[in-house]
Amino acid sequence: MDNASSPLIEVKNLSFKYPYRRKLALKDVSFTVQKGAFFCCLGPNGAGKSTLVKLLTGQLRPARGCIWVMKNDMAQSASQVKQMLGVLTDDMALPQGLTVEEVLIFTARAFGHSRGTSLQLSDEVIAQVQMDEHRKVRIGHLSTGLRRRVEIGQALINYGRLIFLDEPTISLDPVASHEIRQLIKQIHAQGVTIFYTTHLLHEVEELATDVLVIDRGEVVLFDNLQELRRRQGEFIRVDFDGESELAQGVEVISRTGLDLRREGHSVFIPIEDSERQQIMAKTLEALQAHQVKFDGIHFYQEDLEEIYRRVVEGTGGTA
Amino acid sequence: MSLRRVFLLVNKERKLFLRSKKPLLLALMLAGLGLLQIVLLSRGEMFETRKFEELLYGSYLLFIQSLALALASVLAGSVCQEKENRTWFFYLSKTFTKAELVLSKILFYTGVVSVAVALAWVVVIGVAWQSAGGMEMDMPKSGIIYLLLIVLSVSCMITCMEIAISALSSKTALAGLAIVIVWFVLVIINFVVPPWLGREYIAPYAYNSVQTGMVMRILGIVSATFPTLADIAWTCVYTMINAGVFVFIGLVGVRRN
Repeated sequence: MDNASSPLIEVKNLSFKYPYRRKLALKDVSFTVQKGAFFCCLGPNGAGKSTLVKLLTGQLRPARGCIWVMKNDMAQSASQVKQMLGVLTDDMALPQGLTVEEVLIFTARAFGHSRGTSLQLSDEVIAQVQMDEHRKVRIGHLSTGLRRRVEIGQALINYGRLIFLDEPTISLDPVASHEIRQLIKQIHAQGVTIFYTTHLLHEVEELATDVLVIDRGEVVLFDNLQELRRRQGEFIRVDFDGESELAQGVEVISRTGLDLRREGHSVFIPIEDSERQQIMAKTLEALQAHQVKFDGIHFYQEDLEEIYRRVVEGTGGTA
Repeated sequence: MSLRRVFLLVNKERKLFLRSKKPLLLALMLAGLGLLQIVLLSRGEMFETRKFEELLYGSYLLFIQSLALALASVLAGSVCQEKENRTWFFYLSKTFTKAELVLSKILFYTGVVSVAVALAWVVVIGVAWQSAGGMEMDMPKSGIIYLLLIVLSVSCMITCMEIAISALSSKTALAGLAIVIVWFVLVIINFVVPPWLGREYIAPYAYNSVQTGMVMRILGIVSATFPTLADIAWTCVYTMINAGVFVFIGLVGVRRN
């Protein structure tokens, strides 16, 4: 774990079970987060995303497996690691009676900075999260969106090079949600590694460099977003009018030896780049030869939502 | 545990306390107790009990026995309210330990309650003095200071007990109920436990406790010599050991919560 290119986070065979529960909340989870990544952990509600964040930030101890954060073994040096992390989780709230400035100074002082340094740090972070005109306002008087900015600020205050944001846009209106995403993008552009959990696919498409999909505590997909996009399945999609045409079409295409998948009144035939024209011609020829009526035929590339649905529903996998 | 971090929390608690409705609530509760005492003192006048020490003893018993219930409104949520409104996890994510959080509450509220109780007692003594119609008091003047020391140590123990209960609870309402139950249980123990098992040391607000006995000696309610400073110091030490037990329960118990 001590070479220069080692990942910022490395998780190996991580399992966790809450007391008095029969099922494992996380089962045999393994992945790595590289320095500078925008790492999105995606999964449906109850998949284990927040549990994973709590384990990575030392709030929970794993039942089995290893977690290395910034080259530190969490089993041995969780308290030192916690000093280096910025955390925003969904079960955390800021003290309502303190002002924005006071919260940030308090946070900096909690990390051991002197009063002078804390003042300076709070000024820098207030500018970074664009809260200058609200610095003297109490947290309880801020809107949810502005409060979220302060929460992100407190995660950044300790010169945070690695911050954990657990569903930061949850319960925000679309405008505030967009603003928070822009702010997070700016922070990431400054070189901060971000571990981000969400169940919103458009956030992943907008922000992520790497994606980890977990479902019922298990990793169902882990990939680089660009690589994932490159590997997004391409298909020939044939749409049919009714059930009888569909059944006839499926039979005819199957006889040509091509793989296919049915969805509604459509048939999807997976293709590779090199043979796309050939397969299109072969399919058309087969359908026309047997006079099968169809609505349309075209090339089709699945989006992230479809990949997500496919892996979470267990209908196949690219992982 | 770092004291620097504990005092950072105490300072934060001071700001939050002053900006909340808690000072008003505390003042209201103590004023309510004061009113009760004034009623008692007026009854004293009606029954022609005009001796200053007797009036003060009645006031002491009423005040100290009701203090736990009066403070519950402020202290029941002192720790568990942080869990209820999720600020607890904010402090934990800033690497504070649960023990540091509880200790900061104990230090801060012991200070606040001590100041408030001392102020309330200045008023109580004044009212008792007035009600006694300026009669001369039989006890030495140092008795007033001794009495105040005992009141402060008992209120400190009550504060620690209530914060420990709050630290063990997850809901303020539950903590409030638990405080009332524990208060009764301690009083009952004072009746049930045989004296050789040290029942007088368990509930300092009970009428047969070491502390109440000492107050009786100060005020000359029982025929015994006026206590020395060492007697008072030991009584306060017993009470503080009692408080220490609750601090220990709070600090250790909160780890499991």
